[in-house]
Amino acid sequence: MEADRFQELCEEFLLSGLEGEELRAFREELDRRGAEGGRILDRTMEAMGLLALSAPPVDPPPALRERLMAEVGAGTERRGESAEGSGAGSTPTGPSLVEDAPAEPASAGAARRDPSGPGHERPDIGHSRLDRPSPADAPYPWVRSILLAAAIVAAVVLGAWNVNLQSDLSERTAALEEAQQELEAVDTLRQELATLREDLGTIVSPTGSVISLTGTETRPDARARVFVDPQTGRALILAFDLPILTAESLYQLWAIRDGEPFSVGTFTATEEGPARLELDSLDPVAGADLLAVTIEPAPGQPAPTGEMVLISGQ
Amino acid sequence: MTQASPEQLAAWIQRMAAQDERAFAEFYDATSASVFGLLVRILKDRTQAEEVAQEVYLQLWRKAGSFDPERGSPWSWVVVMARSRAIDATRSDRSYGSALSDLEARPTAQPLGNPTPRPDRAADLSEQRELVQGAMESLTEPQRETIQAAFFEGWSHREIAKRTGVPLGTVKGRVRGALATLENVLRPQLGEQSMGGD
Repeated sequence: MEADRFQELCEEFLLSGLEGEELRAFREELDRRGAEGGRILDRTMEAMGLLALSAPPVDPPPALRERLMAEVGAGTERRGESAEGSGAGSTPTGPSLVEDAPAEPASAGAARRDPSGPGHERPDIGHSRLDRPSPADAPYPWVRSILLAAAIVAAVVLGAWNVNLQSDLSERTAALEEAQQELEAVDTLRQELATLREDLGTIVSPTGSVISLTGTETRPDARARVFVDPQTGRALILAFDLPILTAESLYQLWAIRDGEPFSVGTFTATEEGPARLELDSLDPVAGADLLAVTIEPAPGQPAPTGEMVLISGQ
Repeated sequence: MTQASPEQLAAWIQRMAAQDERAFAEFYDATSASVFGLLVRILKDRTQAEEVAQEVYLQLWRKAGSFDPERGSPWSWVVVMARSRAIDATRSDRSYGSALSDLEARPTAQPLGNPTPRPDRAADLSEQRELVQGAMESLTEPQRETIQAAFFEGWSHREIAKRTGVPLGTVKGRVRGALATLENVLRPQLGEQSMGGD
């Protein structure tokens, strides 16, 4: 999986969750990338932590603090009592705060000891419905045998029927999942087509202009075009014949004004076509004397530090 | 307003793991306005936000022992927990929180974060808030609207594309651009490690 795609899945996983095939692909790729994949996920998580700070703080009602402190205190108290009251090796009954299991019900005192082992309890269900006469007391032992045989046959038939139903259900579920995946694939294709149309609109815009970037001495074959459409306020950068970088690096586009570089955005090269960067605003490139592309450590740098591979106006 | 540094938050969480109620109280006092603000922003209902905040803080108390500073900052840990509870409260299938449980279920042999210790950070969360608000201003309007829809509404990229009529590729580009801009703007002020980077 391309670094770009993995980053995209990290963002979607943390922002809205993933499902189905995408979730499986993400988990596999995360496992495959090991610590490096973890670092990318971690970095995205940190960015999300900061995003949360863009929400204005709101003081919660004082009653919330009181309730929480009461619950935390009660939990600790119950835990202490339980630890004091229980012998070595016994399991404390967990307070709701510390353990997810509910506290022992008051009726548990009426529970009956389970002879299968110490400490195990089961509710007292009484004798009336479970008491059976001993075989010696049965008036017609052969009737019981017939009924037992009939019950076994019924159980076998029902079991076989259940297996068939389960198999049928599994097949239908698999077919449904397949259909859902196909629908998602169609949806993705539709979205990609819409993106291509939008790109084409920018490229052929009658009011648009094009800035060409050529490869530097180290990358003489590389080239790029920046399509600027003032009508929609959109710019599209397509770069060709750039080498595919490792996950730790990416390409960064700079606008140079009065000799000072300003970051425009980052992008990566893939095997699937030209490298692509889209801008929703022309501000980052407006008034630039030069445009240049450098190779930088991911996720980009505030000022250029790496090798320059493309430059305009040459 | 949160005044605690990340190191102070981590120290309180460590004490909470040892059932220190005072540490819990201090942790709550330092973070509750930010957490409650986040929940009100997502849920748009103070009563529901209060219920979810109670669940979140009890979960933080219960799970304090599972916090691993090697995997990320304490604040991002709190945010992931609070946000997943809130997003699930807005969804009928509660699928988001269960998907994120993968984060905790991951074995420590496969670390999520940088295994090296993080250096001291000067900026506490209230200072970070000011920086973040400045960074949000530097985003383009479409980037800001898209990242807010994704983060505070919990909409998937596809949902945003469908609801706004913007192509999926553009939505993804805006989310990526917004996060990258935030990182680029904030990294020099907060230090390399504060973004969880190398």
